[in-house]
Amino acid sequence: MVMILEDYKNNMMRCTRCSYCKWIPHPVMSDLRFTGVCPSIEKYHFHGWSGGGKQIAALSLLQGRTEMSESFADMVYQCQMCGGCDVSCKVERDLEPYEVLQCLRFRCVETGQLLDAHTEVMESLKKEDNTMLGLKSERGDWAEGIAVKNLSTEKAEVLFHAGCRYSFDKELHPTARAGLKLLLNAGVDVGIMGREEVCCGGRSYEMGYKGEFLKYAQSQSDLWKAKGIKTVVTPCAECFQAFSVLYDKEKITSQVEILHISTFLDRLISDGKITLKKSVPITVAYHDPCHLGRLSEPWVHWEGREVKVLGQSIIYDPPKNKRTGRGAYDIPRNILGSIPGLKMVEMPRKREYAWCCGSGGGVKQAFPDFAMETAAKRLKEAEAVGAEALVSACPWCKHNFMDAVVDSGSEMKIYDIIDLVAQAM
Amino acid sequence: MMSFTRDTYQALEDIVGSEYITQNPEVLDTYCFVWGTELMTNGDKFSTRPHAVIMPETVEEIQAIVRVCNRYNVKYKAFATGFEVVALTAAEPFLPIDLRRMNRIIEIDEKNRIAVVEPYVSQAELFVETIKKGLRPNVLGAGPSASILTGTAAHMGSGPQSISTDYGGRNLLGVEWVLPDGEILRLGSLGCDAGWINGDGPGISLRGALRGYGGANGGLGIFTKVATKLYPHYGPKKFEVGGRAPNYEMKIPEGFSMHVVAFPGIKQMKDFVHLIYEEAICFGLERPGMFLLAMAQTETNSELAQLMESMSKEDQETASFSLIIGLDASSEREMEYKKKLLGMIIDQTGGTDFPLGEKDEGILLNSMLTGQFMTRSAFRMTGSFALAAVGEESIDSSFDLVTKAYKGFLKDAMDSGKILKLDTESVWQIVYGDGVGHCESIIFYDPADLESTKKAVECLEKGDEMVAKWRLGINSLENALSYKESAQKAARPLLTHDFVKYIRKIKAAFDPNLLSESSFYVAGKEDG
Repeated sequence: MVMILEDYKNNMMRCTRCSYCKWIPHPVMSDLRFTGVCPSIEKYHFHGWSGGGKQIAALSLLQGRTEMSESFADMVYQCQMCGGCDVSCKVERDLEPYEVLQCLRFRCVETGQLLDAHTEVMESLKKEDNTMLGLKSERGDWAEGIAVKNLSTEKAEVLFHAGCRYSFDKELHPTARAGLKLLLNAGVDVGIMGREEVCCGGRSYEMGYKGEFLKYAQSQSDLWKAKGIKTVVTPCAECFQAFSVLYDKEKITSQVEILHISTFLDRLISDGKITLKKSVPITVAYHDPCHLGRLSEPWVHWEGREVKVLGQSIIYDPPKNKRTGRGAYDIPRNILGSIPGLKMVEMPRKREYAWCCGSGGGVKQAFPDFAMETAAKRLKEAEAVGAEALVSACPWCKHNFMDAVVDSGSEMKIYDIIDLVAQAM
Repeated sequence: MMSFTRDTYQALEDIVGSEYITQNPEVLDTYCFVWGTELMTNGDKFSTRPHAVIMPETVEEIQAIVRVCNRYNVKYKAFATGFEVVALTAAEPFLPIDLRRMNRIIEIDEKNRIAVVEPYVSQAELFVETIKKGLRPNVLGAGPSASILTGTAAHMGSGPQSISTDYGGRNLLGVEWVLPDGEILRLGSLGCDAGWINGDGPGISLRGALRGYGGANGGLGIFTKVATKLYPHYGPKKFEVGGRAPNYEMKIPEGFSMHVVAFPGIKQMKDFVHLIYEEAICFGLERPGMFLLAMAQTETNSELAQLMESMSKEDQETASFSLIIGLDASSEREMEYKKKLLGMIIDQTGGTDFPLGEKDEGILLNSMLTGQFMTRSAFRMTGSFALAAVGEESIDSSFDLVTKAYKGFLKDAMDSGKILKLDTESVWQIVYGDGVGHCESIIFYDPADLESTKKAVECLEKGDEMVAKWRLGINSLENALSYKESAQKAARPLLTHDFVKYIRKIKAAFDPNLLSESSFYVAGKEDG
């Protein structure tokens, strides 16, 4: 059942403004400097910017007390859609703040409250099939010189989907290339789509353009089927979450196995096809990307109704899965832990209550300063635990951290997990 | 005549800058919606939209804001985390002063065992920082996200550890107070640059005027810093926490022991509480009632419904006559002594110390240390709860009030199906360090259901009436009736002393223009 904003009205009325959505769950707090979970409220302060505040604002909208306006849309879009609020809320409640945030974005688009920066991205998507304002003809350039099958004309079991960021961000090309080479060198029957690769659609969904998302999702699904692909591997956490969660949520089904590259690498390491033997003597903190972590919990469909027992006790019939951020946390840590010489330290905010890199939800495009400030706070957190390097598993995180390093003058080194695996080979 | 003009807005914006004041309606609506608003507005989730909302960062900015409000005749109210009905609900528009940017722990004085905090420091945050120094704060039942300052200086404050820390007001030491005319008053030793250690004198103590028993709930100026007492913490500097969202499990460290003790009836439970209070061996004590106890053990409402269905009426009653006891000790020998004594009291009163698994013990310790019990347990099942028949009484009377309320009107209300239906008393109960019992008869209602909300309001009114008619002490009345001045007015003929008259004089003396918003304090002028 696809829910719309109105379906969450009772949820909104049951918000009690407790502000749990602003902090990481209190049992895991350990350092006063790092107790926030919501970049949006930390930056903009007024309650409307919090997860709970948006429930209230949404109710106000539904009751006709307010209308979707430019300022309302700004409040909605000044949020990375990182899902931290949702995890913290659900420690206490059976509410769905994240779904309300998503529905508010759909409402912004439906009512024409668009941001110029997002419109630009969407035009690029419609015209060039990417969110990076790049030319479709240049999409496969990142893999130039690598002897790899092009699945637009050849066959392979595994498709390596680079994603928009890796395809068009030249600074990140070495990482994408390293990732592909790791698979090739391990003997994986892998190919790429080259310039025929298209966007996963995930970013358009988060920005509220559901129609465009559905178009890309269906197109990807049809492509995989037509090419006989068995497994899609992507080094991008956003693509992974779109393929594995959003497609399922919107009932775009396929029989293809979807893997983030970290999982694939972990398998190759376990199977002895990749051996990490070189020492990488560095102290690193692992940053859980939202899209590989809390947002990647598999979608469990639910068709049912809210019923009351014991007079007023609210339950779901049949019982509904409570999404609480069951994502991929151990695998990246296992990989890092198996690199000789590498020392891992944990930041106070990690796993399902990790602080966001700041890049998601269209924030990087529309509010770059906000994205940068959010990333800079993560650099401080990594510094506080003595890390020399911050490691992620998503190109959007990596790029934003790299920008923040330049902007803040930090000496933190920024890596993707692929970079470190490649170094250890 | 209230006036909030363009000039008023400009004068306020000049103080904090354009980034920290707004009149955007979608933002303002998040400042007139709070837990329990619907109980005051005939079911509407929104009370009157405020004029604007402003967010100062310093005491000087607050002084300037208060002076502008006096100049332009604008009602204002400061609040911290803002999740109780008293924080933001009002019939007339006012200026909410959001203190979110004032979130610093100014000082943790280990030697004198005090912490000085600004308004937006949460209970959880102060807890995390103080345990690193072998101390812990008084924690209220309002939960980890609630402001430490609020429960200490501005609002009623009771919590699961009150048996060892007493209620909020007893923890109040030095205070920095922006009076309703914008002047600063520093109480006690702070007023003569002698630190935060004492909030009394020189001369008469103003701590009583500042908060009375129930707190002025924003109706008497703004508290910008308070010193609060700290207590010895015998646990680790950081608790080991297992599990994952939504169920984090605190590992029980040495120095703590958690118990659930059940009694065959109310008399035995009363006897136990008297004895355990007398022996002063526990750091925490609470009677959660059957429902809250069951809630804490489950992750979702569906799980809870299944658990409830599996419980017989007898099981429910047994759980209802249960207490959670927390022991802490500085040494193995001390813990041995406390456990032995606890066992003797249990034997003497016919109780049963239920064996707890490690996981359950961890959940209970976490709840007791951080006050999470209420927020985790009481909101989830129906969406909200309210307190009908609240009392600050002798231990025996507080138990009796719960029973009386249940039999008097709550059972019928539950049977109507419009509030949560339970087969036992629905209660949260504690004892303060001075031996006073605090009880709350809890009604669980659905704020998204008008009929349920109306029934909750009816129960609140009946609870107030019961407290007044039973002629309980003034503490009960001030707490129970602070929600509504109309309730105070109705109760006044029943009282031997018209305490409202005296509070009104305090209000008028401190706030001659009557601008510190008083929906949950006396209005200043005679009502009606």
